[in-house]
Amino acid sequence: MKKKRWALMGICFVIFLGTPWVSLAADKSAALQQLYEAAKKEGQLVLHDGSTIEEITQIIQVFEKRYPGIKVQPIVSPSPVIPQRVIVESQAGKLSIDAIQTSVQSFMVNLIQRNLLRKLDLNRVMDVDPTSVWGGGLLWVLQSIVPCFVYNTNGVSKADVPKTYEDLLDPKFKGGKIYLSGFGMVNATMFFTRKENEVVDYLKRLRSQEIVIQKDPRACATAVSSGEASIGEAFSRLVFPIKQRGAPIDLAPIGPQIYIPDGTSALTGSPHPNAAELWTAWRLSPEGRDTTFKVSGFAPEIKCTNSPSAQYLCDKGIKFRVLSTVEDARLLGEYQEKVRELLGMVPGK
Amino acid sequence: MKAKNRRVSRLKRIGASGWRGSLPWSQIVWVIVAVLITYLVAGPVLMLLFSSVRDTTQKLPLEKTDFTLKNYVRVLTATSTYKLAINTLIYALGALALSFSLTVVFAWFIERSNIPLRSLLLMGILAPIAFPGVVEAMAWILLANPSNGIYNFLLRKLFGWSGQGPLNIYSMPGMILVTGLRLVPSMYLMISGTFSRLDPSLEEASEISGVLPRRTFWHISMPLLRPSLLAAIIYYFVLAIEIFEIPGMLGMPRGVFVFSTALYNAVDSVLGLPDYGLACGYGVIGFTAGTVMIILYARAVRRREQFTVITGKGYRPRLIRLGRWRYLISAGMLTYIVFALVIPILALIWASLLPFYSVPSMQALSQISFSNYLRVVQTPAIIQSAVNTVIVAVVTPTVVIILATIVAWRSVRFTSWTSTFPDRLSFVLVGTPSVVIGLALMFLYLSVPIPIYGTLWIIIVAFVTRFISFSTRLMGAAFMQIHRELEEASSISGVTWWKTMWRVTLPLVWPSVLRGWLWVCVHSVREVTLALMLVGIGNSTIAVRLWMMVASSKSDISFACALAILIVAVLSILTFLIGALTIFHGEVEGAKTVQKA
Repeated sequence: MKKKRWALMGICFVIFLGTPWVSLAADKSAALQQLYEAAKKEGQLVLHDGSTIEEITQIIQVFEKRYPGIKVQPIVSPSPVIPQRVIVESQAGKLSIDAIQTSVQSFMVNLIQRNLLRKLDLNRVMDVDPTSVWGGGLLWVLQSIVPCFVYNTNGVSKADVPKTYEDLLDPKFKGGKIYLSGFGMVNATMFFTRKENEVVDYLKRLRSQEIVIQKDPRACATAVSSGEASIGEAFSRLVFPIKQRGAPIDLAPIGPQIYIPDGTSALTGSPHPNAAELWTAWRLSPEGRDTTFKVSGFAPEIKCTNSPSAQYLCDKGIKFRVLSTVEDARLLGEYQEKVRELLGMVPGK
Repeated sequence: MKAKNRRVSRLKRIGASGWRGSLPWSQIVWVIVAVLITYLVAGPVLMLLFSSVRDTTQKLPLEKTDFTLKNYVRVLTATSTYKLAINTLIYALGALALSFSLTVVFAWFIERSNIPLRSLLLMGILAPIAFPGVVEAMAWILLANPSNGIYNFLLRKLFGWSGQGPLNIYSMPGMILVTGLRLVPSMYLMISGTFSRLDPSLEEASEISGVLPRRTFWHISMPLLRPSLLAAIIYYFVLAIEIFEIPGMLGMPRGVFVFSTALYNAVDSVLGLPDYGLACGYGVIGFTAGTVMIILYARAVRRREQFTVITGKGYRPRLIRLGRWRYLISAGMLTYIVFALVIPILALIWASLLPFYSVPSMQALSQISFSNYLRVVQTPAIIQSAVNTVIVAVVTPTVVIILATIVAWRSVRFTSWTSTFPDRLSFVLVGTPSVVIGLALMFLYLSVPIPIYGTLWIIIVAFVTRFISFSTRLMGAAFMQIHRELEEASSISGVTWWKTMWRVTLPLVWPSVLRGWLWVCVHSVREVTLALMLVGIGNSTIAVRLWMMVASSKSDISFACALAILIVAVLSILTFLIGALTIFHGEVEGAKTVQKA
């Protein structure tokens, strides 16, 4: 009898503890449904995304099936063009875009300074992984940008693979063998982790290696995989798929590197705010993340187990310096500008 | 009697100066066209000048910020500006010299001599007009990059050399070569019509008098061709200063900067907002160069009558006989076509068939497939972009040619400033960067109650603005060759102005009309910068789609090459058809003339 009483009390205790969670879950579910109803009334969502058109189309198809009644219109264009457009349209009171893909870089700072990014509180509609939130809800993290160095496995022997920044100053890499992008990102990392005068001195010596400047890290990765370059700059998430296709390219274990959260942000004053919030919530949901991963192979690389690309970085032993504040984003821009000047990427410098 | 007096009075009013004061509604058309040109051009020019005096450090020109001259101070006091100026002059003059000398030679032989395979040679010379600049630069990088360019790979194998090179496309000579070759087809379209319209009787008279052919060429033929050649030199010199893709892909990697790449650095900021103030400071330099060139051009051609070759007297176009030399000359031109067209295309095709690029080898050969092409045609958004592109590529050149014909005719026939102003104004935009035009249009159509922002119409407006300058040069040169007496004779006989234009003038300039239409059509398909600035929902063109694939795709150059080859194939077919039509028209007119004689 005593045992039965204790069992009954235990069950009641569990129910007592669990009830708020259950009702919370029910509340969130109801809030999500309300959000969907509001988004359906808006009927449309216009979003900018930096993915390829094929990828975003596939992702949109899954969303539209999950939430019928909301037509999603993608605009695929380079990220640097979007802030200008958002600012100009917003000033004219004719903002046409609801959500944008953005990352913790200096162009995002321009939008934050003008209060053009809207803070979303998605905790009210779903359970949110804390690593997905940046800036208190200004950016919701779907993937990451990690600049790194890659090398051509046919042109660079295992013994010669550079392991530190200083290894790149070796004479065997002189004469147009190192391809860096005009973003100046991979070397900007050094300003976060070393003294400024050390970095300036290093970059001057790197410039004397007769480096070749390409438009962006993707072009550098292409040059390395084709054999045109021995060493190059690349984004880690792009390297693994190229390698899987058989290209003679591999990551050089040079670090630490900056970890730039990348994801989606809703815009202040957009024409379809509820649809933008629903889209963001869905992208963060298990279904949304699975879809993104299946289509693009991208996931935040902060945890080794998140994706093969993340595991690849862990296997290479590359450490991160995470950009976690707006000030970090502003500093990144400043450091990139210094790198560009010191490496001769700016006319006349 | 009264009716006869009225008719005589009207004919006297028309008189030798033409039909000023005739049908008033032709004046109305002129006013509408002039206002339209001013509207199209004034916006970007004012935007350029306005932005150049704004402090745009992390601000856009129309945001709350100060007026300042610091952009000009930065541009004019920096030693880098003068280095840029020297580099730009070397680059532009070098490319111009190469393209001009090749084009004049080709135009002379194809339009005026009996070399064999004329049609094939013409197609081969014009076909590269279909290449977007990015694609052309990509092809030459595949061929001549110092590491694994195909030419270098073969040369090193042949001579047993090691290391890199010997050729290096990432250099000033590389930029000059690729740009020079790139300008040839456009320049050919601009000047070839005037070659074909030359009256041979002047040259025959010179030969009969015992003058050597070389002297006849320099002292008789060249002066008659002067307006057309001057127009080409001036236009393409200013254009060469503005071209970005080739110096961007071949010069920037090795730190060789010119004005266009300096400007690009200012506007394509990866570090926040573009510095439009600085960019417009550079842009004003280009705009000033364009304005100076207009003044020089206007002074050089102010005596129009000396350039007319088609008069009221009949003339029979005659092909110059070259004898056995014609085979050698034809072979030389075929070699050029192989070098400038065939080999670059083959390099792109090779890259497009591989999963990732590598130099030709047996191992690479085993990886060939059409998977990249399949991916291209299976992308739904490509189909929509293709439809958009067809609409833009038909509407834009039609509008441009109509406007350019009216503007150019009026400018050539009348000397008052109201008649020449729209023509001169249309030219200043040559030196204005496309990104500034795009931004100006974005600001303008977000502000005025004309709902074309984000639609295909804003793309068409942008392209008309961009391409009107070329077409007015082309048509101006064509009209200058036709003496007014033909139109006067028609008008005095009582024919209306419209009928005179339709039955007398236009048939004479028809080859230029066709060429101008083709040029604008092809450039509308391949223009990227403007379309990218104004891209909205559902108004992207195929060139923007290609750019997006190159810029954002996880695939490497191979995928972009596949789309590029498809674009080039379609444009080449179009070029072939129009070119064939032009030749056919020329041959029919020639045959008719021979028949009448």
